Amino acid sequence: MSAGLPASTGMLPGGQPPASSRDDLRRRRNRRLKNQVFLVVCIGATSISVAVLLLLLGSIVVQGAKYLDLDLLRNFASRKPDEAGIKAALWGSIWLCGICLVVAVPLGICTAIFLEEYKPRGNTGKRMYGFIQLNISNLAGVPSIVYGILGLTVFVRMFGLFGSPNLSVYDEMYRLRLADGRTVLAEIVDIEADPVEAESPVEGTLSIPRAEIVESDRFYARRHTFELRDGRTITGDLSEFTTETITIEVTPELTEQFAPADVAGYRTKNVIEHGEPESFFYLRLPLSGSVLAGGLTLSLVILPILIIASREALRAVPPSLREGAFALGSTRWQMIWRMILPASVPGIMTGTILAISRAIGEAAPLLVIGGILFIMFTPRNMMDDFAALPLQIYNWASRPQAEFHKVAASGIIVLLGVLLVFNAIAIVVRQKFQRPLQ
Amino acid sequence: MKRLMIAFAAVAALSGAASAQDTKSLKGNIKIDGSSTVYPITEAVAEEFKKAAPNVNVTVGISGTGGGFKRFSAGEIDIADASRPIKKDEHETAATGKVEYIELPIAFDGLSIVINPKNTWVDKLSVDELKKIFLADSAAKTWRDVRAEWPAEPIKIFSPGTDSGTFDYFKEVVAGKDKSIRSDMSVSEDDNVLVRGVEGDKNAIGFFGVAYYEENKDKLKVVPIDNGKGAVTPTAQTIEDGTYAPFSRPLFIYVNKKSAERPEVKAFIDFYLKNAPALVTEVGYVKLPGSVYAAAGKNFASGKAGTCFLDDKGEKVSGPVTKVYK
Repeated sequence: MSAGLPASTGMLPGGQPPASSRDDLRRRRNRRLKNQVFLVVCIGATSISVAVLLLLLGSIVVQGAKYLDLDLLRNFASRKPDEAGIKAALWGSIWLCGICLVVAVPLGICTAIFLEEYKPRGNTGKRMYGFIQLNISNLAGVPSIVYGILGLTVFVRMFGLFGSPNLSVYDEMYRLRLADGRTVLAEIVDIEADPVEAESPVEGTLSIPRAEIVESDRFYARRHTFELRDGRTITGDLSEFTTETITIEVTPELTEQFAPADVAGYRTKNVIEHGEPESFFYLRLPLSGSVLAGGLTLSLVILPILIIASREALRAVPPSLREGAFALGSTRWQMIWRMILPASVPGIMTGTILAISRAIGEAAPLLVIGGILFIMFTPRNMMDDFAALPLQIYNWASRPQAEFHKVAASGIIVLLGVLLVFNAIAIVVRQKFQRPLQ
Repeated sequence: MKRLMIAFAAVAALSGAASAQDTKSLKGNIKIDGSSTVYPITEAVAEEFKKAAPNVNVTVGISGTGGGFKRFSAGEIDIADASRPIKKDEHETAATGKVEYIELPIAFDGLSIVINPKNTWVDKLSVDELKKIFLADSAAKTWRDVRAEWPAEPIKIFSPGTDSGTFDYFKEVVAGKDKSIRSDMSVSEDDNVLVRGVEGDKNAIGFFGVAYYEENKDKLKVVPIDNGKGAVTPTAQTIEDGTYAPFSRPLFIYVNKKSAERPEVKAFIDFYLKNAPALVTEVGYVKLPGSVYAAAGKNFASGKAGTCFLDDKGEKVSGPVTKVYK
């Protein structure tokens, strides 16, 4: 355009430089000025955000320096600022993020692949597709506390299917399988004793030689269902049993009594356990306020972010790659696995970094599902209780004592450190899998 | 085949004589949740208890008094921390969940009413004057509206969040059942924000736990409260003996009666009541009179279930904890 204008103005009569040429000069100057102004605005905006960040980091480092030492990482919570440590919260947060990585990342990527690479064709399929898309976009905007409530019902309480999540308030029962093939449900005072003294609602008081017990299975129970020989089923709290009668509280007002001889069978609504609480592989249903329940809840929080980021990354892969792969006769799976995924790893990893950063900073959903702050052990397995960094930091920061505010600042530095480590892992993965497009 | 496991019940046989020496052999888990105001006390007790009973895992959560009672009524936790007595509906939920509980007061939390140190005119406030400032229907605009000789400077109010126990208690004392607290206040869930607010404004007034005043004595001025018997400043002494009225509230723990049968829970509560006076003071609260701790100990030993703060008809019983709690 600038080349065209002078040529046309040269055609005008008279020796004076034409007015339009002066206009042109001014316009050019204007354009350059705008360019400069925009540059300054951009630099200004960047430096403001960097300055705010530096100010924040600086003030936290200054405040937190006093308590930032190995004792902070080694000690558990304490009422004394000098002894207060972050060990439980740190390990809790690491477990949470680990579970999030293992659960949410594969789920998120697979969902994104389905939505991007396997677009349905049929009419119903398209409608379903639109519905899922709409939901994912909406879910990304849902406040995280809502996910906490969801996690409480689904993971912590498991809809009450397995009774109460507190294992301690409920009766400790044993299911014994005896050598003669019988199974006995019993309350036992000392399972190590020989013979084992057992009180069973169905068999009455038993004295079983240890050698006869083939298998013993401990569980916690309260609600029992008895199937009687007359066809009735009675469900309620087992309140008393003797050799003559079994008493069951059906409602707080109503009790039912029946003789053990009437019982055709019984079920116990109970907690399902596998392995021993000390072992690494211990599993239990319901999950109650365990670190697995927390991790799954946080996975729900970050899943929409991950899906959206991964979809963007997949969409950024040029369609020519897909067409080329198809032209060479590869299947859709080969195309995705060999071409599309490697090409989109950088974008997916960036999304993962953002998602994990969100997960590690979330406090609200954890508060809803249990929100433990004081805990004197770190998780040994996925069923253990846990604390988390953001809760611990918030609690310290809202204490009246100024010294605790400094401990909170040290906690923030640790949180940032953990975040950096997780991000570094994501970046290493990105570098490792990144292949230049050929 | 599963290995046979040692039953906790074996310890139960010893529970009758569980003294300080055999707490070392106790095992088990104790789950506590509830008020974040009570948390520092329970944290301190649990920290010390860990030294006495290393194999008992105590966990303390901060879901809030209401959240704690919800989990308590469902039988999910053994002990609920509460910054107020149990309410009627919470009591009923516990009854439907078949949770019987023992109520134990453990400390006082004094409420301090504070102003900016540059405020030279306020020497004391009566409850009626507080009503003029805080009630929605009077809502004094300037200090002159409170007392005629004070300057016509606009009042700036800083208040804890309306969900907090502190606000609840203040509302109950100042507004009672029928009236409401004005809504044009600066509200924050973090009491440290209120401290900074009052610190930065000459015409500010605010209220929060005494611990926050004690930590910021140099930046704030506490207002003595005149309850008809002369102006009283909140100190450990005046709060404990009840002369600083009516702005000191009791804090509680509620113990599931079934849990209390377990030896480790019983040992923990005995430990709690024995060490509360010292630890409560250490973390910034005020200890209760000895008679209240004695009554709590007696109630726990006898397993007295229920609350003293609801009468037979389920109506709320108010008054100082020393009179109501028996």
